[in-house]
Amino acid sequence: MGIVLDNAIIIRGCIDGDRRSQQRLYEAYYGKMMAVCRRYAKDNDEALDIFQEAFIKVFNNIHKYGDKGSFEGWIRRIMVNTAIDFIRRAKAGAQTVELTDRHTDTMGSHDDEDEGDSILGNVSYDELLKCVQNLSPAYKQVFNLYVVDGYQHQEIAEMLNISVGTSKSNLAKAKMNLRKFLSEKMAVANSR
Amino acid sequence: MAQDDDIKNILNGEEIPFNPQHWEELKARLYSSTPSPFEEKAKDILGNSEVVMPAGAWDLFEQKMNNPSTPFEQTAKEKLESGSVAYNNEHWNAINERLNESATPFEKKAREILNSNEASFNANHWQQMDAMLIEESNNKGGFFTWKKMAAVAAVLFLSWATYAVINNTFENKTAEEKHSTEKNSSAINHSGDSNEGIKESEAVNAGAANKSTEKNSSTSAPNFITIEQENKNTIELAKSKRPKNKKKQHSKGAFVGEESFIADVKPSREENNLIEDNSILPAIAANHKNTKIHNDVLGSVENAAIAPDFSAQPFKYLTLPSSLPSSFLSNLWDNPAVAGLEKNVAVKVMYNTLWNDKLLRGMTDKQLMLDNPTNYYVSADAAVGNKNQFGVGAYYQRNDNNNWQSNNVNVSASCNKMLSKFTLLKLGVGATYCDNSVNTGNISFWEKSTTGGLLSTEDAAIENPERYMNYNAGAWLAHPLYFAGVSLNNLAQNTFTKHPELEITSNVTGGVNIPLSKKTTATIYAQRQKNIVAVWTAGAVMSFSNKVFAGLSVENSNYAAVNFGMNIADRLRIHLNGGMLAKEESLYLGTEKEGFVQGGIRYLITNNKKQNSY
Repeated sequence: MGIVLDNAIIIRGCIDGDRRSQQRLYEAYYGKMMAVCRRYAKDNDEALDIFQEAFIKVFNNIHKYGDKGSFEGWIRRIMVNTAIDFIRRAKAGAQTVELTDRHTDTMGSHDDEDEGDSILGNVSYDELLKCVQNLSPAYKQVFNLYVVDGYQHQEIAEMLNISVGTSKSNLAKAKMNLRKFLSEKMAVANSR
Repeated sequence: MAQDDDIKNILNGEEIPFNPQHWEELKARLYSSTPSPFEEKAKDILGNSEVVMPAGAWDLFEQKMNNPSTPFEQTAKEKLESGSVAYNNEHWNAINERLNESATPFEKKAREILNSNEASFNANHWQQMDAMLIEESNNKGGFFTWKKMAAVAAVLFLSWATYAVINNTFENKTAEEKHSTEKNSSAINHSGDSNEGIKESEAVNAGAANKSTEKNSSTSAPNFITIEQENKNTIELAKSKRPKNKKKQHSKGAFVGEESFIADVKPSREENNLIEDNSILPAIAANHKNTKIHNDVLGSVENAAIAPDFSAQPFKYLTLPSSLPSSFLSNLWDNPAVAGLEKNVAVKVMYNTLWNDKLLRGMTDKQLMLDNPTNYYVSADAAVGNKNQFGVGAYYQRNDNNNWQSNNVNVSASCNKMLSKFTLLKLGVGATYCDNSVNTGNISFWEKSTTGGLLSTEDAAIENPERYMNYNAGAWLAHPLYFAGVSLNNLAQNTFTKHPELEITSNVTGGVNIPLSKKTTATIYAQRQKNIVAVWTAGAVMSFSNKVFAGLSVENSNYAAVNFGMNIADRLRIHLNGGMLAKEESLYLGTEKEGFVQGGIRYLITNNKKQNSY
C-alpha cells in the first residue's frame, strides 16, 4: 500500500475526529477491505455502498476498538457484518433458501478434492470474483464466510440466523454453482 | 433311540439353499427408516413412560453440588476452578493449519485467488466519504457547529428586528408630521399644465398654488414639493429618500395626505423617471378629485413605458437544489449566476396574480380602476460541460394587465469554480430583451399614480413602445451550510429620448441551512433588493426529507407571505405561495389591502440523482 501506518497515532487521530487521520486510515485499508466488500456485493457499485457504510461505522466506533487484537481483523469484521446487514436489508428473502435446500446437504459432497487446480488453475481474480458475485446472496454469504473469511458453520449459522445444516448445504450449492459458472467460462474460452 | 438319531441326522444333514430375496428383505429392514411393529411398540412404551422424581431429590443434588461433602473435594474443586492457562499462539497456528488442511483443494484455491487482489485506491471514493462524514457530523449537531449557526441566525434576526423597529419609528414620525402640517396648511391647486416637467432644484410655476401649502410640504416624505417661500410660486422637489416601507414588488401605492399621494416605489426606469421628471405628481395630487383635469392630464399621454413591477419572483420557490433545501431564491431572473445550479435540465412554469383592494377616500373603485394583473413565466436552465462547469438558462416572462403588457426574454450563462470541496462559486451574465407597451386611453388613475414615470415619457415614448436591452451580472456562493448571492441589473444603462438612464439596481441575498435532523432542515435567509430604496425580506423555511417545504417570509415588516412546496413525483415539484398586505394607511385615505397568489411547477427533464445539485 505504500503507506506505513503507525496505527496507534492514526487511530488516536481518528478517535479525535481528525480528518487527515481518517483519510490515512481509509487509504491504508481501502484495497483490502474493498476487496472484501466486492466479494459480498453483487457489483462494484454495491460494494462501494457497503464499504462506505462500513467505514462510517469504523470511524464512529473506533474508540471501542481499544487496541485489542488485530486492527485489520476488527475492520474486516465490521466490513463483513455490514455486508451481511446490507444484503439482508436488500434481499430480505435470502434466508428462504434454508427451507427449500434442506434436503440437498449432500449435493455438494461431490468431491472437489482434485478439482481445485483443474477448475481454478487458470482463473483470474476478476473472473472468480465475477462468478462469486453472481451467486445468490445466500450462497455467496456462506461461501465467503466459510471459504475466504474462515468462519465455521456454527458461527455462520449464528451470524445468518440459519441452521448449521443450511450453512453446509448453501456452501455445497455455492461451490457447485461456482464450478458450473467456471466450467461454462472455460468452455467458452476453449471454443474461441 | 436309533430312530431318533436317524431323524436328527436327516434334519441336520439338510441345508436350505440361500435365497437372495430373503437377504434383500432383511437388508431392507435393517436399513429401513420405517420401524418394525416391534420397534414401534417398544418406542411407544418407552417413549410414553415416565420416571417420577423422588421428593427432595433435586434439593439433595443441589446441596451436593454446592457443598462438597469432604474437605478434599472442596479443595480440589477450588484449585481446579482457579486455574487458567496462558494463551499460546502456537496452539492457534496449529489449529489454524488444521483448519486450512481441512479445506478442500477447491476451497483453498478459491481462497488463494480471492485473497490475492486488492482494489486500487480511488480518490473519488474518499471524497464521497469525506462528504458523508461532514453530513454525519452535521446531523450529530456538534456543539461548535450549532454555536456558529445559532450566532449567524441571531445576527440575521437582530438585523431584521432592528430594521423593523427603525422602519416603524420612521413611519410613525412621518404620520405625525403629516398630521401637524395639515392642520396649518391648505392644499395646493395645481391647475397648470402638468406635462411641464419640473426638474430637480428647478423653480417651476406651480400655477395657482396657494401660498399656504398642505400636505405636500411633508418634509420627510420623498418627492414631495416643498414651499420655499410663502409668496413665491416656487416648488422644489425634494429628492429625499422614499419611505422605506415602499416595496419593489407588488406595486403597492401609498397615499400621503388627503389630497396627494406619491408614486409607489418602482424599480429601474420608472423610478428614475419619477425622480427626474415628476412634475406631474403634485398636479395629480392636488387635483385628484377633479376628474376633468385628470382626464386632461392622463389623456395627454398616449403611450409610455411601463414595466409594472408587481410580480413576485417567479423563480423564488421553484428552484430548490438539495443543498439549499429551503424554497429560497435561485432566481435566474435576478441572478444569472444560478443558471445550471441544479446540474439538471429543469423547466419551470409559474402563474401569478395580484389582488388589489385599495380604498381611497373620496374616490370610487371605478375612478381608481383597480386591476388584478397576472404574470406568466416559463424558463429552462441546465448545466453543461463535461464536468458541469457551465450553466445556461433562458426565460420568457409576460405581465398582463388591462391596459399594458410587458414581455421580457432573457438568456443567461454561468461558469463554476469549486473554491473547496464543498464551496462553489458561480459567476454569471445575462441579457434581457424588454418590450413594454401601454394602452394609455384606459390607463387607470391608480396606475397613473403608481407609475410616475409613465407620465413623463412624453414624445419619445409616445412614438413607439419601449423596446430595449437590459444586462445583468451576478455571483453565487453555495455551500451545504450556507449560500450567498449578489446581482447587478441594468448594467448597460439605457438612454431614452427625454428619459433618464436606467439606474443600476442590486440584489444581495444570503442564508444558512441548519440541519435539525437527518431529514429536517431549517433555512433562515435574508434578502435586500435595492432599486431606489431598499426592500428587505427575511424568512425561514423548513424542509422535510427535501420533499416538502413550508415557510414564512416577511417583507419590510409589513408584507407577510407563506409558501409551500412539495415533490409530487420523482421529477415534478409544485409550489404554492400566497402573500397578504393589510394595513390602515392613514386617517384620510382608508385602508390598503393587497395579496398575491402564485403557483408553479418545476419539472426535471434529466434526473441525475448522484449529482443533482451543488
